[in-house]
Amino acid sequence: MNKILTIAENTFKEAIRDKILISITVVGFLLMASSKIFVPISIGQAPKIIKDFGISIVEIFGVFIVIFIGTRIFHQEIERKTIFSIISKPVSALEFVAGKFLGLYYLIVVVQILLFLIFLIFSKFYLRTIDIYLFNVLYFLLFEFLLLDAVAIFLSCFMTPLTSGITALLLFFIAHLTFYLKDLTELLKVPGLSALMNFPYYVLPNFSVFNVKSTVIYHLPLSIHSYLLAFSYSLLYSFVLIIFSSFLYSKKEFV
Amino acid sequence: MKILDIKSLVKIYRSPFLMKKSIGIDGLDLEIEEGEIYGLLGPNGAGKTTTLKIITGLLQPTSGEIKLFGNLGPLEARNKLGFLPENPSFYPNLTGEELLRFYAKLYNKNLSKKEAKEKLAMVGLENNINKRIGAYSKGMIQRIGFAQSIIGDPDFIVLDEPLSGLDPLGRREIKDLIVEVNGKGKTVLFSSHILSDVEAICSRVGIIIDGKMKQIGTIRDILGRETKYIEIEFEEVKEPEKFKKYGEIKIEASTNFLRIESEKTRNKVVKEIINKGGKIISVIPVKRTLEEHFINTINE
Repeated sequence: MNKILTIAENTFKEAIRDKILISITVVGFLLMASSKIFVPISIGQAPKIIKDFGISIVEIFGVFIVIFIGTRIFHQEIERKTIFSIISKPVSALEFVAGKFLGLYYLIVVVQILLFLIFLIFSKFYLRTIDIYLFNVLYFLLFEFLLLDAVAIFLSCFMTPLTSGITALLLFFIAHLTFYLKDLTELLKVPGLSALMNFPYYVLPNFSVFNVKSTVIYHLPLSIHSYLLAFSYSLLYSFVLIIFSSFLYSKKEFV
Repeated sequence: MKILDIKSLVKIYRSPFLMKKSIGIDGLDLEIEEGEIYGLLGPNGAGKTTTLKIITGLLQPTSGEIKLFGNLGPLEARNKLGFLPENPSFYPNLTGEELLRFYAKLYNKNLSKKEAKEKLAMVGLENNINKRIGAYSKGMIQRIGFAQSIIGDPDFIVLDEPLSGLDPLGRREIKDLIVEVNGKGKTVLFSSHILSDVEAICSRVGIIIDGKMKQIGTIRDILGRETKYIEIEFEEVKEPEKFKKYGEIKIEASTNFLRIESEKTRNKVVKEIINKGGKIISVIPVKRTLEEHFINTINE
């Protein structure tokens, strides 16, 4: 476990000092600041629009960072040849992969909390109030990104950065919609089709379990079940993906 | 005790799409005893780096047997192994001190700031402790690379071209460090193109050509005890050109240089110079260099 935490800490340190990350966070800050332009055209819907826009910025930047860094994380190690000095040390493939996964997650937690706080400050500035209920979104986002982190790491084990980035992004959007596929199959009741259409619902990560944005913005109640589902689903699915990733990684060669 | 025992090692690379084969290592045997400094020589593409990468777990052999520290498992063996890759590269956003402390932790060793500073000072980087690796020069990277290879206090240190990119002073320092760690009982295996350095510090060398081990032995075994020629410097002899019968002679203003091929004639020539009232300045037996031997072996 110590080695996993060591690699995680190193991954975090390396990434947090990267100029690209600072640039992304600054852009996020500027975009949130620009939410003020919606106030005059919102016809009494300013609180909803500002919250919706702010949360979307936090989420989009989270997705971008996880996919951009997560899918390049191993390739960068290979390209820079830094991997040579790690693999030749007493570090197992599982320790290396889990360390990288955790390091990226530290990073995303820090960036998400930072962006969320910026959002709350702007929200206080524009709406003269802070909606504590919005913290629920952060809870679900953090578990959503844990899973997306594992997906990005898994794909980068056997794909190039570009293909794994595109696949992870497509998967993220498709996996938000698999819920509708299941509904559609139940509605159509075509034999054989249900198995085919249910496949993505059960196999692909179901990101819709983390989608509580509208519920929170409209202050609708969230059940304890949804909190537990987000927590357990994210942890379990990520664990399985990391085990698969470390297996794939253990078969890799570094020419 | 054998630290490393490789038998009939084969490594075949296959291109990703066409699956075209290329042979990296072709039935290589290599044994390294505890306490040795072993030099691995060979032209570019001979298979030196591939061999070192297989030893350190970066590549898997296609076939053959490889034993590190007897029969230790890969992770246990790597716990006793230090490695400096060829043209090393490290995390650019970490400082020198952070980098060493990071690698030490991978050996379950907690390096204090003071210890990290000492290690950096050992490789001449005491003034660059808080400088980011991204700002290090090539020579500095090579030096910190050496420091990280010994950070876990390994018993077996594998160095791939450790002297490349270093200026003469840096080369001298790293060579001294290799000899120093060897003096502490560590076994060192290193590849190098700088043959004079190999000749200076290695107890044994192996020459790899086309993935095969062509020759193994001590420098003395490989180069032989025979001298290539003997150069005799002498003066105060009348008609020195008469010594031409023994070999090539170069006559300068007051000094003469006679190059003779056979050791057997040396004493006879020296005696004759003295008998003719001459004065011997020096008698230098010139041996074959490793470089000459290496080039001959490749040409063969």
